Amino acid sequence: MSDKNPIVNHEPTLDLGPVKFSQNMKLALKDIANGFAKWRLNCHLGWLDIKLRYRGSILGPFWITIIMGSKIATIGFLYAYLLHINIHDYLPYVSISIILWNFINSLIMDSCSIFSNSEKLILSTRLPYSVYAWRTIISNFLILLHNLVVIIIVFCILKIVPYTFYLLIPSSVLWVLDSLAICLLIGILGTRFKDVPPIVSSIMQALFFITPIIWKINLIHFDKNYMLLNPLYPLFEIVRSPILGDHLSPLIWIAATGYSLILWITVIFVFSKTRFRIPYWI
Amino acid sequence: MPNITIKNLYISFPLYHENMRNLRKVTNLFLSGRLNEDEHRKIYVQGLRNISFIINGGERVGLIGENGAGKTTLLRTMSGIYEPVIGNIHIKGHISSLLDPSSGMNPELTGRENIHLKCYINNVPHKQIKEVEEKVIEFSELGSYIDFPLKTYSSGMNLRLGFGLATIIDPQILLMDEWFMTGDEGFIIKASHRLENIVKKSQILIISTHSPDILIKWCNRILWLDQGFLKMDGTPQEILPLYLNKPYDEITGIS
Repeated sequence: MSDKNPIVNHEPTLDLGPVKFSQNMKLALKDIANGFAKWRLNCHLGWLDIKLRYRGSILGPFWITIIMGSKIATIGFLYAYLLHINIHDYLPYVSISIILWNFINSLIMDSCSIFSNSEKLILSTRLPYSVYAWRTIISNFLILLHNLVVIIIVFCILKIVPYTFYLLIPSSVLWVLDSLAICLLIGILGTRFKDVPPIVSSIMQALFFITPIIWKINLIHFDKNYMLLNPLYPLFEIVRSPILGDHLSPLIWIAATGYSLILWITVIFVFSKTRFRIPYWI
Repeated sequence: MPNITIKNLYISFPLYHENMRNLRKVTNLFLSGRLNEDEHRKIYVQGLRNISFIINGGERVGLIGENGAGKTTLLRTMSGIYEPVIGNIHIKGHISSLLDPSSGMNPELTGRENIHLKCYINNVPHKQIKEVEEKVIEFSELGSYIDFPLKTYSSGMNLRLGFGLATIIDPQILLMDEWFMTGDEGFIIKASHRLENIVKKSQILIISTHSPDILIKWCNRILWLDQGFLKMDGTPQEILPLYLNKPYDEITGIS
């Protein structure tokens, strides 16, 4: 092996030109597949983003944990008092909810600028565009891992044992798939239309209040199935219920997969239509 | 054999965010005929217009033209970054492009971290990263600076690192923008030596430059871009006298 030229030297070919929509769709799916194959680069880019943000700080990324800890403690005690809920029930619930919310919110807000933040890279090297989506997902996932410490501390202090873990596997798969889809979709829209980031920001603000995150579903007095109209609610519920041991109706899983399907169909359509246009926009 | 075939290529940039009522901004573009409206009344600036050529292995091509003639756009298109909406590109071979000294590098990261990043981007197998790292460090002569963030580097150091990285991967097609000949004497000798090696393996070299020196020394073919059109395509002997408005002997005499 050592006498061989160390660098792979095969001859890749590149054929570019105007193609039909079906061909573009194939290219879009290929982009997603190639982006997935570049997992090493994706993880590296995501990790570097976190590393650089906290380079030179003494506590480093553990500031993320501390900030989240104080946020959850404040909300937990304040709302348990205001809503007259037992802190032993409320604190685990709210810590999971807030941390998930923090992940999805910053993922979506970061998505608006995934392509414009990587402008230099995009304009210097040909890479699958889904790489930039993964970059954001990975860095937000690393933040989530730091925040997980808070959940573990809460569970230890209150001496609560998570109900089950294996039901979290399908939920995690769905979360990863949805993250990729929403990241690409908002990324494309945010690059093309400069008004998207503020619109997204205001929608997210509203969603924070109308989704059962800091309040529990049993506080509402109409038919709870109406809550399924909010796409975020089933997504939160499929993670919270298995851990807290709450009853999870099959309707919630149906809604969660349904919304994901709609999201993916939209994304594949939009990505096929616009993928080759991204470098022109940034 | 690496090969580049480009047929009837048009590249146009849509203007979405410009205030088109500000006529002063667009008059220049309008007068040169590079501002077009399509059937959806969207406004485009044409970067490249009806470009066709074939470059075969062993050719060393110089791209010339005024600022804004479309040289960088053409280099980016050949790197596969801008996909054409009209026209076709067919490229065979492993491409490496050095479009600007910091292309694809992060100024916050150290030199070593940037080398790793580039290896990941190019899918260099894990075992070979160390080897690439050593070679690049050796070429760039950065010494202990390799563990300092790129933002502390001088432009010459940046250049040595960027050039070392782009050429270590042993590209079959090397696309370069003109900046690379701005280094000091020692670097230019080293860089020339490395470029010679690439060209010897009958690979393709494409340099965009303003310097007649480089064109005469390095290129056996010149593409002259003007206002996005391919104005002329030929040998340096044919084109340089017209481009610089001087007899060829005088150009070589100066250099």
